[in-house]
Amino acid sequence: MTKFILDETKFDEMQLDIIKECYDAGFDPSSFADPKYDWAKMQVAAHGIREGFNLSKYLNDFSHSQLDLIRLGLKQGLNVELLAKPELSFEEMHHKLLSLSYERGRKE
Amino acid sequence: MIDDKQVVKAFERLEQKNIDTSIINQVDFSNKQIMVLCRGLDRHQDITNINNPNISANEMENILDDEFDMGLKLQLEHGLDPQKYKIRQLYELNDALNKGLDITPYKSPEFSANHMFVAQTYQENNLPINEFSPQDSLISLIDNRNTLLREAHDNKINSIINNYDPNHDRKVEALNDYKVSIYDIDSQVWEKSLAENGNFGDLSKPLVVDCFESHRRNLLASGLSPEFVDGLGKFTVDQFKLHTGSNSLEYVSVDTSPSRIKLINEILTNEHYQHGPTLSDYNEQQLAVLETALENNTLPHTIYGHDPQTTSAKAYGLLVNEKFNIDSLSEKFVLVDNTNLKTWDTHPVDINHPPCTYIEFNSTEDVLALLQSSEDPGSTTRISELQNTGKLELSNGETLYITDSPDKIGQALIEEQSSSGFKEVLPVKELELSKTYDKQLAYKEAIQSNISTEINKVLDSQLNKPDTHLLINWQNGAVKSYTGEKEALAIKAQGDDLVKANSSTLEKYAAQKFKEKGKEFERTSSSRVDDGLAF
Repeated sequence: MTKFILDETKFDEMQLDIIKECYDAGFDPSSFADPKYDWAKMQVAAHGIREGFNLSKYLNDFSHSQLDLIRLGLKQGLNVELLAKPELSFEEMHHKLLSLSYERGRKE
Repeated sequence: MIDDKQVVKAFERLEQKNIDTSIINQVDFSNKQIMVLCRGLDRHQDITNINNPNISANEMENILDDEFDMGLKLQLEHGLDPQKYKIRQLYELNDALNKGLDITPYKSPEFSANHMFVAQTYQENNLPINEFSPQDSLISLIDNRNTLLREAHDNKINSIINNYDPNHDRKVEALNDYKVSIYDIDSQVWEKSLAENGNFGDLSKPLVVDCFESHRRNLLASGLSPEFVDGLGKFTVDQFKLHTGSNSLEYVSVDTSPSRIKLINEILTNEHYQHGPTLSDYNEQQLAVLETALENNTLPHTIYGHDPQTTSAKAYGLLVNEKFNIDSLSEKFVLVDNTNLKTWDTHPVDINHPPCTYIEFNSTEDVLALLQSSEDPGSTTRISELQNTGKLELSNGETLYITDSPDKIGQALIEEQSSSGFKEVLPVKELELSKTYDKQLAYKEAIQSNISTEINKVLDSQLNKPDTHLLINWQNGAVKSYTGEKEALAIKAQGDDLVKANSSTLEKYAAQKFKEKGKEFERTSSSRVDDGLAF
């Protein structure tokens, strides 16, 4: 991994903690290391990175809870574009995730 | 708290949704841990298992993910709503399924996790759980289980006492006497073959046959069954032809079933002549599957071409049900092997040369077990990767997921194999998409036509005497005639229909069977009645 340069003055302590933890574990945090993302979103994004999923394209439009549902959808191998719609509430996204997973299982 | 803005928002959100957050003691947990717990609650997951400050936030996330997957699996496969269950209940149900138990009697959320656990201990000991109720106290259920276990144990002891075979020692003695005589022949023949440069098998056969005949009466008198004794005789003669006669007798004891002796004989013979797998390569489960198939006369001759190291008992179970005619398919998916068409393609339809073979299956687990038995050394690695990571990058750039349909997975993995050209995986209902479907259809028609012709011959001939029975096989079109039901039953294979050959029964049978296949049985008068039957 290339060396990661960070202006620590722009991040709060929680954000820095998550970025460093991700980096120290051997993963590249650059996709979410932006001060505009709160630490809760970063926590989900870092979890995604550890599992091999890059959530950067969803960071702007979704809350940390919604982001976590998208991560779970990616992990299930679902088409998350059906789920990742900013106009959907968390509850609607949660319901959609369960029904997409269910439909996929039924088709097998 | 370092920064509690996000945490406060998360709590407010949950409270707005009337989700009880009192389980989270904010003082004990870090902000990162609290956010994971909140996300779990938000998804209606039971967080009891991770409600421990000693578990890191990352670890909590992983556990929550696993529990989410577990809940989803229970929902998909068993229609349970995970939100109605405590996490310990989900774990118990998941454990039960992993043990292969039927969770139907206790899958209701009314049963506590402890009830579910105790119910499993009943099932694992083959005890009845029909009367199990969520209202039963755990102590009474455990007491009852222990009583039943004691009774079962007593019954087992009584059964052993009652079934004690006083002849057992006599059987062992008679078999040992026979083995000792055979060992003597072994050394005699070995020395003789060395001295005379003679063929071991030729030299030994008359001696072995004489030896067996001289022991036959003693073996039978000891109480060993005639089937066992006859099987033993054939086994010894066959094995002596392979220079391994006396050694192979080690595999036979008085408790070995006649069908197991027959199977061992086949495996050892195949090992010798075809360099097939050795007997020790098979485990008991694999042998049991092959033995049952041998008893049912459904063991394909190609079965020894599979390596027991990579072919699981499950895969053998599928392989021994190999079919040859689309008319006989009954499961959801099928692996079609068109290899025979390489030699068959230019020939007219011939019922003795099926264009394809079919291995049927129902699930992803089945098709992976089947493909693991493939000879392609790369396939096992690919299958392991798919099983371990849930996905596989294919050589065409696409990604295959473990959650894809079984036929998609099977076809994709076959296309990755080096010798993929002659195999296809399809849902049975889409078989018309097979590239050799026209030949398969022609074969099915030929089978039906042949059976129709043969039945007509029987009906026309004088052979339809009261005692004549037919064995009719719709897989290969064979119609064979036997005098007496007993004789026919002795030969009957799984898939054979046994039909009495009198006119009314046979015509009724033919009409019914052809109707099932969407056709009408045509009664034609044969011009070759006087020629007799070609059976």
